[in-house]
Amino acid sequence: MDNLLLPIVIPGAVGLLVLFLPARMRALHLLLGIGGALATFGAGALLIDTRGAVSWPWMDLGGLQLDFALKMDAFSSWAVAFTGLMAVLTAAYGAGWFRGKGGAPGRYYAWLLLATAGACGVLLADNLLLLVLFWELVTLMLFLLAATGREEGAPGAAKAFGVLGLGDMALLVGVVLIGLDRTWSISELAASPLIADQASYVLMYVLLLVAAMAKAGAMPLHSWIPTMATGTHASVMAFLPGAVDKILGIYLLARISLDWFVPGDGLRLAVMTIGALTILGAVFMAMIQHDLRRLLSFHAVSQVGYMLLGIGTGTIIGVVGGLFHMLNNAIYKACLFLGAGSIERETGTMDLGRLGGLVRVMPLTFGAMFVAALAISGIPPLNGFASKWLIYEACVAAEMPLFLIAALFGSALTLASFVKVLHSVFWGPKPTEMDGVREGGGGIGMPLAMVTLAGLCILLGVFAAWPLDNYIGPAVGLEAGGAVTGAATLEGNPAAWSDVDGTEPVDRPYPLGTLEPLLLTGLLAVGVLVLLLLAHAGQMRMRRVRPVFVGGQPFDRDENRFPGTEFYRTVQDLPAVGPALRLGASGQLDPYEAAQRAGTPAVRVLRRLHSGLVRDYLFWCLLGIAVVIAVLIGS
Amino acid sequence: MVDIIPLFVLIPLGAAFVCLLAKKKLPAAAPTVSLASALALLAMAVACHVEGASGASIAGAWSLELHGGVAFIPGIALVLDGLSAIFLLLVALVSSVVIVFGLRYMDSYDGRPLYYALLNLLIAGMNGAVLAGDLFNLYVFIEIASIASYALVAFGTGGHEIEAAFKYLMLGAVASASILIGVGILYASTGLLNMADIGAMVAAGNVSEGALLAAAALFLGGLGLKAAMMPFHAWLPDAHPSAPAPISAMLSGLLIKTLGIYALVRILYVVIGMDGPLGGSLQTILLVLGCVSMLGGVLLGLGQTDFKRLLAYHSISQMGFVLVALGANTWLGVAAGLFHAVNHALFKGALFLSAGSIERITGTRDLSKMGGLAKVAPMTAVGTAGAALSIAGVPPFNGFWSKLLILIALFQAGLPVVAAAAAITAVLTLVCFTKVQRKALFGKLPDRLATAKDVPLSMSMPVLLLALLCLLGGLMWPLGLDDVIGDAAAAVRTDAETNDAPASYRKLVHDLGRKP
Repeated sequence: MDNLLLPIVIPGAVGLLVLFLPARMRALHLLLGIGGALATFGAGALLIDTRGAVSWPWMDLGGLQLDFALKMDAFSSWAVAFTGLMAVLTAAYGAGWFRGKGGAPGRYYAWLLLATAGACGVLLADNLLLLVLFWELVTLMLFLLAATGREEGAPGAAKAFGVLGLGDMALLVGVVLIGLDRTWSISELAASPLIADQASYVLMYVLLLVAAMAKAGAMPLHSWIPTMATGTHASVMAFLPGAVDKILGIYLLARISLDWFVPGDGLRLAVMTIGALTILGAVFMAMIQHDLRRLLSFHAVSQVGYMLLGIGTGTIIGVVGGLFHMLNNAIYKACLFLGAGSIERETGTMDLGRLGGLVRVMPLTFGAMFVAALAISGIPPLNGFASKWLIYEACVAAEMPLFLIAALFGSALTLASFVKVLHSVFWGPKPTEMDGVREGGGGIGMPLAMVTLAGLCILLGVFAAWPLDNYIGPAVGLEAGGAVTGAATLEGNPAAWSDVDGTEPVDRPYPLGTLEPLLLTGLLAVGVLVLLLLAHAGQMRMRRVRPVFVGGQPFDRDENRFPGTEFYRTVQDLPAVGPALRLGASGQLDPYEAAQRAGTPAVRVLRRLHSGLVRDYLFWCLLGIAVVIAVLIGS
Repeated sequence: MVDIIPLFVLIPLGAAFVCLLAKKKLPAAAPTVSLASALALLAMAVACHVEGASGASIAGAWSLELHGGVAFIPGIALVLDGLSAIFLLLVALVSSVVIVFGLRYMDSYDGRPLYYALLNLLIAGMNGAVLAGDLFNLYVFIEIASIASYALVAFGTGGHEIEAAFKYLMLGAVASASILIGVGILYASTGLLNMADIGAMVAAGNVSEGALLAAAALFLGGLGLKAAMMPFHAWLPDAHPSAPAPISAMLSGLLIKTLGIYALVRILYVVIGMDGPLGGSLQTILLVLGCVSMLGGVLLGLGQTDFKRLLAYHSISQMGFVLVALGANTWLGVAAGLFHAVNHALFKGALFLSAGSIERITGTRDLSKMGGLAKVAPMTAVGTAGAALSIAGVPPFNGFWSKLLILIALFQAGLPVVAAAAAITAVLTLVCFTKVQRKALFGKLPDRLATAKDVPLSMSMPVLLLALLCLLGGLMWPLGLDDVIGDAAAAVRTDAETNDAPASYRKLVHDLGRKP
């Protein structure tokens, strides 16, 4: 069972080794970085069918019990392997990013691998405190990746550490409360989950929920992601806020909602409401962004809403949909961020107003981002559609039409937003400043990572039944064929996986609603084929080529462009939405800045009290002694 | 081991005199003698721990007998138990590192032999205070250390240094007066000075409650001022930043703990008794003032851009953590508080030293005028970042563990509101030190610093060493760190429901009295 150590020890050891290698050995850094990530993925993949637990005692002090205890179950197994895969792709991409540029890859790979080790540790931990330790290691590595990467990254890194620090502290306090009240062992906790019906248990649940929300980036604790996005490497954004932080946050949310607690209806409704608000609020914010990385970061926030919504329903179909969406989101969101990184590397800008017409010069980037954009918008037959469909069905089954509308509307707005992105970056006339742009300056690593991710978007969409049956379903106790074991806390959804009286299983390929991805893909393929044939037949003889001119003048590519940045400006004039967006854009709704505004007067008062006069200070001392005497006499 | 106890005071005292005597003829002797003395103290402190680890416990007592025969006639009783031992080790460790750092840092100051003499006097005073077995000698040693520190704060002899030292002296005089009056009140009502004997009388109920109450209030005020507990803290934000960097590290890292926290723990637990009639209200006072110090200190720290002043406010805040942990009045609380005091000495020592290095590199203490130092001063930057992460409570650094233990102790003692205040303070501390790292170490290097160079190794290594100790302190749990801290706490508060640690302290001292 010591094998369970591998996904933690391999990246941890290689990461430390890379950290202490001399800075000149760049090739070795790259080799070790990619090799370490590959080895981690390999270990995760080999262990995917392993089940078991292992434990070493570490510390037992005054009620605190910290064991180095690991456990691999049906949930953590695929999450670990998937984290390893994301590390491999990010590492490969990074090799391209650093090619021909200055900057030390050593630290990048060291922090990346240590973050991977931390993430695998969180997913494997079987002791609450151990989970906190790994959890905070990931936070620290996020800070270091952002702070040491680029000069502009420092402010975003600090804010991210601040907001995540709040979440981490909530996690720590919540875990301490659980540990002192019940047990420090996660297995024991899962064996008898806490019924969240009294105030103290609700408090613990809420504390852990805050931690999960901060990590995953649900509103209103999302604000670190957009700030960080403006100054941080795209590959860092792709790996941590885009993929791994989502996995960890949603992993924790799923654990507390399914295994550790039995949340009441009120808590579930709260989680769903936060989810729905996150979907809509963030997608509106995304629509009015001008900076590609920042725009993508708001979509990263928006997608978390779907996961919260799905898990919040508390039905099997919803939870499975939420977890599948977490996986899918990591794939397409990483692909989008990596694509943005390639564009920035070649063009030097992320301003949607300056980009344009790159479809011919960056075809691989376009292809990958196009697929990912369709996936994030929930277009069939891609993976984003499959998971969103499960969530829609969960909303229907839970009889929550408002949430269904929010989810559908959010998808539509996401599509609208990506139409803007695709238009602004790839389509339309190419501005003259983009003339020298070529793809492939970073070697094979960058397109390889993007195309792999885009391929996964298609595969996981068309063959969605495979991960659902083999990995995600079992994670919530759902076995292939429809039998439900474990997951006692989940409400079954009779409409979805059995007939009306809830006894007989229906014969579906898998018991998760009406989704038939293969059939759907076939029908779509036929439809598209017919459409193409019709279009081809109709346009065959109408094609003509003439130079374009406008108003009798030759067409000026720079004068006559209409960049997509203006597409949805009118959103800001809508009633209710407009003012909310302005509040959001000015930072009024950001808890980090709100706390700063609230704290400043207190600090000012305290500073004014410190007059620098010995007279005043002596008075305080005497007053203090007098108060102490009064308290002592009073007792 | 008992025989070497007086050496902890005599060696630095002797070194101080040598530094002064050799001032004219052989100025180079001062740093050598000081370093040798500090290293000797370190070796002795380590030896005490090794001895203690192999024997039953770290214990011993020694008394200078002027009249022969019966002990405790005018004499100096020095008592070494687990609590004293850990502070002796801390003083020796941090002062050695600080002396190494000062070898080059003090180049820009005149009168260096005087600096070394005062530094040694400071060490002698702190060691004496930690070992003193009777109240009057405790007071005398506190005064020795305090007077040395007043002079050291003014060592730069600039306008604001003198002003800061003057304020510190004025408030310090109030503290000394109230401690002395407190000692007097107890002496008047018991006829005794030995802490163990007074503790025995108090425990037996033979001391009037009024006297005890007045003494407790005066000790809390006086020692609270030494420990920079709010509202007795006002001298610290001026005094600590004004001193030369090595002295700032000594004052913030050691002085407020040996004179403040140690003396407070010893007197409250052994003499006045936290389980006695006053125990409940003493606990309340510690908790309330601790919370005020934690939150007030961190808020003031957040508003600062002067690096050293920011650090000074955080010292107040971190001492608040120690006070609330002591206020929990459980073994785990005392252990967590002591552990945090030890950790604070390490990381705050490192931070004040690195503030000195950074001031030397950039020529400023203003955080808003710095940036990108990780590029030009990598060694200093790594040390600073490690210490900053440690005070911010990020695992696996030691600060995380002590804050975690404090939280657990507070929850176990049924004090969730105080625990919440501690958690909020910890988050604010993290935010503040993230700001420090962002402004000083990362981000854009200002043009005027493009050619700046890192400080010499003798200044960067001490910071790195302390940061490394912060990291090791967090990772050393399997190596018995919990035993060391646990023993120190058990010297004043045992794990049991009723606290029998003061009784064993009395037994330790009385065994000394019967020694042939």
